[in-house]
Amino acid sequence: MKKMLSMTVNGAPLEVAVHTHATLAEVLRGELGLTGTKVGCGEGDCGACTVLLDGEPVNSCLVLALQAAGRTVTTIEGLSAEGAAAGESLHPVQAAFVEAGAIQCGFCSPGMILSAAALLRRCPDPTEADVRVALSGNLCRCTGYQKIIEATLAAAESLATSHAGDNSDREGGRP
Amino acid sequence: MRAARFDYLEPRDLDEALAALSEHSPDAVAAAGGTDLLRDLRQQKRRPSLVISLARIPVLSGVRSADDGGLLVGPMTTMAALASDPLVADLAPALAEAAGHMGSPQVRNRATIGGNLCNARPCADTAPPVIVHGARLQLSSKEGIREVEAESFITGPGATLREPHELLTAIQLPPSGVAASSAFETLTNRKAVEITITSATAWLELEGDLVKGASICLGSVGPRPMPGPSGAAVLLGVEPTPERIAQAASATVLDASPIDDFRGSADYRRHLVEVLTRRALTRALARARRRARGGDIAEAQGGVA
Repeated sequence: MKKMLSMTVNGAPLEVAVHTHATLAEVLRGELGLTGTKVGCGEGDCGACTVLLDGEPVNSCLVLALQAAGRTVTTIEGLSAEGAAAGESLHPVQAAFVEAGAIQCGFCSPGMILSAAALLRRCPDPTEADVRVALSGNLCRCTGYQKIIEATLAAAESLATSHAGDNSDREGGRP
Repeated sequence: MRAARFDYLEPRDLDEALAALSEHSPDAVAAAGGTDLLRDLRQQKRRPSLVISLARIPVLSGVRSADDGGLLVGPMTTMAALASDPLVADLAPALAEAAGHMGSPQVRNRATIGGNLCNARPCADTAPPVIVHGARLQLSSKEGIREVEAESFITGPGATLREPHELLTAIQLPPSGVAASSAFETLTNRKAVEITITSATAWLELEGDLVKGASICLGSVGPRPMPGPSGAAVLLGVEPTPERIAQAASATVLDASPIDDFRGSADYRRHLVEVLTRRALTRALARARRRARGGDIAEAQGGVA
């Protein structure tokens, strides 16, 4: 049985017909082609399928697609697009992961990066403990946690610097 | 494995949800946060013909003060919301701690207290805090509303007093005394995405230097959340010295009936009951004393507020 689903994905409102039993992860990957969202365990243990639902990280394998009706979903593709909109090829958190070597096989990276990005939006100046809690629902099988934590802290710094730059621009009288 | 097919309904108010549940139960299932349900659907442990999502019924979400000074917790309140709610942190800190410990950030953003209570796993972390605070649960159906004690609600693994055509519609915590508080202690193999090996939750109320009320509840050491009356009895009417707290913790071991499983042996769990109960009582006591001092200060400033 299919029903129409209206939601906003990565800033774009869309409508798609989905099975009532389809998960959000299945629709993002299978119907919308957004394969940056990975599915690992399918039970909410690994966090590979993490997306932001109204800005909050959730396991998209544990959300029925229809439960996203009327809500906003951000996937890793949407985060890249934010970076592109700012004139960079990647979002600052993605760039920090690349720079720190926080990616090995890459399967956990989209989920890790979305969890990190959600943390930095809520808490721009996190402690290492804050980062560890925020990433505690994302498993990395390449045991790259230390670099991932360092990358998240580095991203916080680079975002703070760029925001400080924005402020000085404003103070400089630019519109 | 994929979920078997089902129809899906998203009622906008409680009456619509209760009518649908009444019409389709027992083949309908109510979906709260879905963090357990989706796994069960995919593994086809459950094969409902209809899933009724409770996500868009505003009255079921959120925490507010009740008229009597207690707390009214909506069953669709997420673990993340409970863990960061200032009213819960003040009046039922054990509940905030249990909610903040469960699962992972992603799970806490979806999982709800109502789902946790109604799934009724022996390891359900929010059940012991709700029980030690003496909560009453409101069960609604098309026919009307009834209330049950939280302590008797969970009757066994996965079994509760809720009938298939009923919904848990409110968790009512009674007013907290000025010198009362609670604490939740748990042990898991990892700090996140884990299932409790053993938990202990304690609630204490003081009158002067003596214990006026005590309640203990244990998780994952029996077929349901296990009350700890033996430990509570040690403390009633006496001064809660560290020695008495240790005696109470040791007596509480008698109230547990753990089994061996891959998370821990029964012996290990009995050991944990003693350690975690002692810690929970000690922290609940410190909090109750702090609240009592705060109350004294407010009284000394009498009438200013």
